[in-house]
Amino acid sequence: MPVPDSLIGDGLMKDDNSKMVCNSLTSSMEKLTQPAILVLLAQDRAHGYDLIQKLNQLESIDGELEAATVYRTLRRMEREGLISSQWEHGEFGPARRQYSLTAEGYKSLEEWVNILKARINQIETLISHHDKIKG
Amino acid sequence: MEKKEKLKILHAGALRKPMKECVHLLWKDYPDIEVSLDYAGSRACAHAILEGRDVDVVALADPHVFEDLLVPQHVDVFFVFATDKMVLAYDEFSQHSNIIDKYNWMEVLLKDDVTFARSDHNLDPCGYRALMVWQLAEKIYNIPGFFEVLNRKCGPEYIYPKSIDLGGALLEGKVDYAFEYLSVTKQLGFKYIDFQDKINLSNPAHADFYSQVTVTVSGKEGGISLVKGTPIEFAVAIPKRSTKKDLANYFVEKITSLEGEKVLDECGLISC
Repeated sequence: MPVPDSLIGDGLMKDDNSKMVCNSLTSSMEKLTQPAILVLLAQDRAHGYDLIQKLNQLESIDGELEAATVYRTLRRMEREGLISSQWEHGEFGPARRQYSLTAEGYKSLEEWVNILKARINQIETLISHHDKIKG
Repeated sequence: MEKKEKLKILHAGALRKPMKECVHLLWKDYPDIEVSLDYAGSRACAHAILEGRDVDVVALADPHVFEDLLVPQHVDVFFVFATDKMVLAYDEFSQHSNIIDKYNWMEVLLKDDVTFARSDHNLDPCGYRALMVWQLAEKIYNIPGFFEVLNRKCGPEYIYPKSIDLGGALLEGKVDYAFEYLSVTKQLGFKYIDFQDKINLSNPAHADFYSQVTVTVSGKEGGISLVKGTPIEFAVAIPKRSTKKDLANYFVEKITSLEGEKVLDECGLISC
């Protein structure tokens, strides 16, 4: 399931009390890094290296995601139990951490999608109201 | 007197601080283990193993060095554990340090009164990565001849065996600027210019762009290799000849554990 491009960079964030926090439209896309990672891992297991490439292909506005941000987010998500990793390698050559979604990760993804859908409705309502006023 | 068990670690100079800190982690669980910790440029480390040096753990600044020189004869698998980026390190005593920024660094380096250093590309990945940064900068900023000008200006007196030597050169005022890893720059407390991701070799999203540049490196017996630009990664392995496999394995697991990640983070590296 692709992440809607229109949502990348919208700066929606869920704080510790599960309240919606709305950032300005110019805020960094980093706020949606976590749900984007969850979506990509829901599709398939992946290394951090591959995830960074795929995440930057999802981006539809100016700016790019720093590799350090993604790697740190992955390590944090693993500590939080949303994803798990194991070393994967062939007979010879580089072993890299391959990530996959945990049951908690799937739950978190569903929560994110529900929050983002609710946000879309709110935004569309606001725009519609504005358009009516403008006549 | 009972002979202490000894673990021999050979590592890239850029990993000096993190390796020392990881040994401290090892000593928490095995205080009686003797550790021999030696370092050199990554290619120099690999050549030492080729020449018969026995080590239990080898940690290098480029997985390509493992592939080029050590796999499969000396190493089967190597674990990619951290990333970094290239920056331009300097301090407040460097010429024009009061004006240099991410927009004019090229202009500043070309001034007659400015000197800059890199490490030796034949011995150390930081050296060929510096050359790659120059090539990529020439492409991205569309400055024909930029690489050649920098290459001519950075004479043999400004080329050091390994990346960590660049820190010493800056501290002693032997050079104004150095093409260095961010982790080493931060460890030594230097200021730095942050290059954009398209030239700093940090981001897999730009792997295709990085791969457009190459550097030829020579080995001790005259062999040459062509190294292609890739995102920076550090890797660690246990050589086949190690006689301390269990202990070496424990140490490698420490580096890649949560505790190890904390150490790497404090040393300015990014765990991956």
